[in-house]
Amino acid sequence: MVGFKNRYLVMEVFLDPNKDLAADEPIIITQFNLSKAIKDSILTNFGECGLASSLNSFQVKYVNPITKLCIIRASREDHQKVWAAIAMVRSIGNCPVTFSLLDISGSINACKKAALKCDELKFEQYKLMAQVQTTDDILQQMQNCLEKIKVLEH
Amino acid sequence: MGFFDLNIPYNESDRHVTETTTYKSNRLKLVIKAAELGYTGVAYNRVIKGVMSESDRCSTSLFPLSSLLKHAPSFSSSVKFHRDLLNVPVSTPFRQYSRLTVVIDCPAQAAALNSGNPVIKSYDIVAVRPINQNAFEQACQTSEVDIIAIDFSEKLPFRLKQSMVKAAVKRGVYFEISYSSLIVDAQVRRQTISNCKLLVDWTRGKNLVISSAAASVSELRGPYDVANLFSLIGLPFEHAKAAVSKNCRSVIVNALRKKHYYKDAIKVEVMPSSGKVNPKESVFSDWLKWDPISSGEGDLLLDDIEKSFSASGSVHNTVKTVGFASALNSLPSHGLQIKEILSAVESASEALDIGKNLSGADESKLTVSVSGISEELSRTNLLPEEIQTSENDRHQSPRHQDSEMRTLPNGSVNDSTLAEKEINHVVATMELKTAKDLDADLPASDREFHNLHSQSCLDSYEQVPLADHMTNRYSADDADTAHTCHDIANAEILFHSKDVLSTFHGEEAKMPISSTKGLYAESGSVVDKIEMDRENKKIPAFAVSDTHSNEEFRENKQFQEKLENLAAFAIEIPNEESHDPAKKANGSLVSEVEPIEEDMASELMEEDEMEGRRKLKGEVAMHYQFLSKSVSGRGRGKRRSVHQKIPFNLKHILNSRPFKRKARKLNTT
Repeated sequence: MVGFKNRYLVMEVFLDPNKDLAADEPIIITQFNLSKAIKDSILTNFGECGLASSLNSFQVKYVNPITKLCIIRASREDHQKVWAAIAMVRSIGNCPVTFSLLDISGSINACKKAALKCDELKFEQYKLMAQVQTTDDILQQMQNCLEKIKVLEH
Repeated sequence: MGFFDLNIPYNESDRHVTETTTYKSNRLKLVIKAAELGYTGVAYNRVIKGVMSESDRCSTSLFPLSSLLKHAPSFSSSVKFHRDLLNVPVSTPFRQYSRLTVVIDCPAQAAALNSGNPVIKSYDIVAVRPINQNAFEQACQTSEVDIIAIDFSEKLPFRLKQSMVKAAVKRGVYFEISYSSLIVDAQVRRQTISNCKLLVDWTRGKNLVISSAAASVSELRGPYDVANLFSLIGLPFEHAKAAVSKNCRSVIVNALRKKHYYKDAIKVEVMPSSGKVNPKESVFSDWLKWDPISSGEGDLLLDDIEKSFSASGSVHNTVKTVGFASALNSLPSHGLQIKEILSAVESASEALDIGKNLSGADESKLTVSVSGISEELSRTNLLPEEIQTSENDRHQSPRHQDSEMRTLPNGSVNDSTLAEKEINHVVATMELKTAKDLDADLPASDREFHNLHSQSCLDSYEQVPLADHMTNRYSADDADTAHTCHDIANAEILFHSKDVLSTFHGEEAKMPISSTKGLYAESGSVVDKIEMDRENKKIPAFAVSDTHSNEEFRENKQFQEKLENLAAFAIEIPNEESHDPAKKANGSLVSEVEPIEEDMASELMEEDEMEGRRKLKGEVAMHYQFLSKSVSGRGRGKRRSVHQKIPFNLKHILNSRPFKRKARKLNTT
């Protein structure tokens, strides 16, 4: 019935893992630069055709710059390739990054649920880690992001 | 199922390294990251080329929890988070192992890779890296290593042959692939994939281990990410997942087994030593928590973070193994005289390296058990009745594995060297590597029983009070506790056969009050060849047959064998009046096992003999069912002459004799 079968990957990004408890963010991840980095990785590892075939369904649906959470959609037949390419991403721009998969699901609803849970937990961790007190600003941002998750659609 | 990363580079011991602090901090970061990503264990890999020297012994410093926490304040929460996602129980300790990779160039170097090499023995896991064809063949066919780690990131100097790979797989050696080379560089990636493809195709994931060899934190990936990466070389996701978890685990189990077990069979463990005999405490709970892949001090319990933030004060009590060789060497070659008990105990305890924390460990217990080995038992102790009574109700399923331990010879001081006894004593885990086999909870009373027994066993040489050691293994069988202490003096032995059947292990041998009855030797342990010396009104601890049995049992590690042995035991009910020397003349097994209910036994003493016996009959018969199968056949002949005072209904028992043949066979041997 449904023509497109997709996989939704909930991933977390580790920025600059080598630095010791950096207080300031080297870069801010956005949908754009994440998407670019991943596409580059697919290109180097799978070539033009690989990129082309996965480009159809590939999209970075959601990014949370505070907790470094992201939701990436890929087609079902290519999701393993895309996932492998993501694992091989070494840097975004100048900043070395590491990706780690948290959850993978076939439907947007399941993905939303998982993402909400992970986001909240990660925010707790962020609060522990952050040297600076979480300002209202940040809290507001978090709220916005959580709202965004809830309105995600395929 | 936990995930392991068996290759975290450890460069600090290299001879030419000057800057160790950076390496160490790097390693620390790697470990933190690995733990946060959800791995449950890492191994610090040290690469050695050429000749090994004494200085190459393992000196890897395992990180305590405190240093991990210091560097990552959100450590525990992120660990918990990831573990939940990976379905790994949060209470699994994080383990650290030490690993050695030996670069092999020629057969001469490979000769050093045998299990006798002490330098190699100081590491948990041993790997070999062949760099030419000969070395590769030798590694696959003969070297006693756990892992063959070929460096795939450069052009392979030799060819992989399928026959070699098959030979290695058959021997149980694992191949290792490092995934950091897939991440680092495009060129290296190319080489790696083309080199690995063949290996992956041939092994299809079986006997394959995936690890990181990450030089820095940015090369570390989560377990599922890694598994997916290998789909690029044709390894299905399921197999890849297994390669990160199950295969690693079996490598560790095997490696630790080789390290801690003497000839793959015997493990010397320190007895839990608590200063007092506390019936309420579960003395053997340590055993129940035995962890087959424990890395000793390297285990980091993360629950503690929330509780106390003290890594060293972990509640987790892994039973620490004792350096077997050291124990062996330190014990005198012949049994100890009673005079020597004390000195022997001290030396043994030192040798046994008691220093590990065992909850409620009782040094005295250790001494008790050691002394129990002593050949001479001067006094006989009546085992406390109440303990025995509690024993009676034990009824556990037979534990075949336990029987191995039970069969450890009890007594028979004559020939067996003390060392042997010690070995026998030892909770020879033997096949029982997994403590999980142990039924979890020994009833408190059993433990109590054991405790008391251990105390009272001091002098009894008839039964090696291995109970402390052994009982753990036989959790099912409390009665069998190695605390069979025979009181020679009293010539009264009350045998409790709880589960004699299950294990035939040392059952309480309690000498009935001398005035009476006979000796009811309960040989929980097959070993117990208790020969009743009717004339002496004593229960000779173990006759010559004991030594025979000792050796036998030492060799026989199988339950079936024990069964047979036990079957060979005739259950003798020594009867003063109707002593039948002929019985004794019988071959190897002299002792007859007569399980007696605890309470029955106690009553026996108080009441009229006959009455007591009658009561005993019924109950014993029941319990005896199990045991009797093997014994009944043998006992039948003997029993005819000692019928008067037989406390239990032998006829009832004798009716079913499935093992008649076995018994007969043993009779004639």
